[in-house]
Amino acid sequence: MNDSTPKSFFTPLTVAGTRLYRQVLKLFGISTIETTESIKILSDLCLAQTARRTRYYEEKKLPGALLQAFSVEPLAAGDARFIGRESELERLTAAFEMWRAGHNSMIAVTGPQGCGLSSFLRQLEGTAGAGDTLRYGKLTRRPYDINDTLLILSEFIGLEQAAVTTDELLEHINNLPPSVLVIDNGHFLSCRVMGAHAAIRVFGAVMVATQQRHLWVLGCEEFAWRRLNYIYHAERFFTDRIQLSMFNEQELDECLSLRQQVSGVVLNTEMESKSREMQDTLELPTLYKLSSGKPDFAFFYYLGALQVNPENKQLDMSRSVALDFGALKSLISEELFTLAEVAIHGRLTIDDHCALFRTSREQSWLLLERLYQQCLLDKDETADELGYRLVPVYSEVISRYLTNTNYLY
Amino acid sequence: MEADIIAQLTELLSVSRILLIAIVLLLTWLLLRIVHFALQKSIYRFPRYRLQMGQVFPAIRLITWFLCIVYIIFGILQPPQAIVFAVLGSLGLAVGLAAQGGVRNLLAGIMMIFNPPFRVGDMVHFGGYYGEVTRLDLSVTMLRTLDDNMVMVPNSSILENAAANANSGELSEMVVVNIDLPQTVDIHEARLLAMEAAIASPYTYLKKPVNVIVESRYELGFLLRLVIKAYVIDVRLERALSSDITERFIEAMYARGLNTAHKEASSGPKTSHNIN
Repeated sequence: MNDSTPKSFFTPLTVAGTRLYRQVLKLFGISTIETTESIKILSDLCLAQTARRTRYYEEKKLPGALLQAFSVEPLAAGDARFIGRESELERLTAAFEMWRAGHNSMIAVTGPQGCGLSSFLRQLEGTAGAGDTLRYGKLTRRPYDINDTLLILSEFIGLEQAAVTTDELLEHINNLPPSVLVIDNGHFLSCRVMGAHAAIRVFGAVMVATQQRHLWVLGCEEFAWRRLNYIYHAERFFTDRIQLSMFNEQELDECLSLRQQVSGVVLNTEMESKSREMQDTLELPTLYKLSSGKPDFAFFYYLGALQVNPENKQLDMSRSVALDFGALKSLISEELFTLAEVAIHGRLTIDDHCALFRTSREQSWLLLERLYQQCLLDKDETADELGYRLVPVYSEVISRYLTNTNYLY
Repeated sequence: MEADIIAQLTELLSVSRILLIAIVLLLTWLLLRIVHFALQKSIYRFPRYRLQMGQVFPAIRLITWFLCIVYIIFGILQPPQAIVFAVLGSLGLAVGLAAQGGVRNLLAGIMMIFNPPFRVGDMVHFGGYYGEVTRLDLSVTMLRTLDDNMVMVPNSSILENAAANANSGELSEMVVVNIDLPQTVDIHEARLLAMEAAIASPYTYLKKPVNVIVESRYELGFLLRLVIKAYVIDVRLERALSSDITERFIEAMYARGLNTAHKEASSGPKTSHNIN
């Protein structure tokens, strides 16, 4: 659509009328989508699962450089693809200054899943001064008891043998040179399993007790942080909380353009001008609306819209189609509770689910697998034990639905 | 005079007018069914706001029927003043004599719609019954008890007597779980376990505080009572929360051997629960 295209006076009225008509039909449970189209859309929902997405891109024969540029892995310090977050980095620099000046500091960095929290924390290497020692650690498992906490923190500070008591651990930490200690994946600290209460308290106590010497920076997903706040009043112990949000339209535009540029892949020359035009006038607002500014969700739509032309092997761009999340409406209460706890914990194993919901292992397995088959959960095999997490690409949509239905708060 | 009034009445109640009135009544009924259906659909889509939406319908129904009757009288029938006064007088007398209780309930219902002591979806304790308000009619209020019995309560008696509302228009409500333990048990550890059991339950609404109070009581021997106070995420899950907390707590007590501190008190924890 071109800006110069003359618009009828009635166009906005017609659009608004159509929207109202669709909303009314939707209210009565009548879908306005064609059956064949809805089948296509539903299958697209499953394409967002990590394994299937990779296969899908391979089948589409998208260039490797393009996929690399649009990778959703956290960006290393100084990566050219890292954009925005200037004010947040300034706040962090100010906190560093305060700490260097001898003030006790503990910083929490929070944000919704997929907003670029890990990438942001990785940039601290560039923010810390030349003389500062920075230690970056990523939680990969949950502390279920005090011993787990001691083990995790001992590994983090590089002890060969885990500390046996809290005092011993504190001594080791206080013997380290003053450092910036960054802990990512703080959502692993949000654990509702019986017994984990003490483990999390000890974790927090160690951070508080050593803040005079070290600057602790904890990265935590938004819902997990809220949970920590409700139970332990975590916010009171931190001197500052830096809240990251999803990208705004301009930042998303910059992010997409930059990644496209970094990939070195050029779109079909005819299409390039067309895509630029689409991006400017139609596609970008649509992408922004569809993805709510969530980078990996926008990448998914963007890459999904690209097609390799079989004749000239160049990349063409088609329009993005919204995914249909109707599957959420068919879920029963226990499934919604499960999704809510997965959203807060970040990742649940079958054993975690058993302990949380007091079900048998078979019941938990069945429930989690069903949600996986519904394409609402993804499998995370990075740790020793298989875990389930919300499909990262559209975790925000699921969280929003759970909040609206009062399962997540 | 009487003959005149009868003649006027006959003229007023012609077949065409009666048909028109029937159509208006039917349309009003249909309109209300559509509004009700749309509200139910909205509640299904936005369950978080179900109490607020549920509150709207009784008021809409009252206003719609009122407007419908006004339209029938002054728009369709258009009776002469003499007939209006005669009918009103007769109606007043008949209603006054024959339906004192009904009118009282009706007036109470109208008062309750505009100044509600509770709304549809609230958990209410009244006259020995405790349950969810499922319907707020002009003359009666329907409660569904936790045993799934429907109880019909006349509106006038609700206004005349005290009614306890557990959640006052919110989805969360406080659930109190009482657990009796032998007095010899380790109080500190039992209290911590009770607190953790409440926090660990997926039905607990953690935005509001969880408290555990220890009380001493005597029942064929000295006992310790743990009073666990936690908020449930949705009023419909209060039984599930109560049961879940009790189950978690007792299991943790057994796992730590706390219930077998003294053999003479080996009956283990006893539990009861009530809702505030």
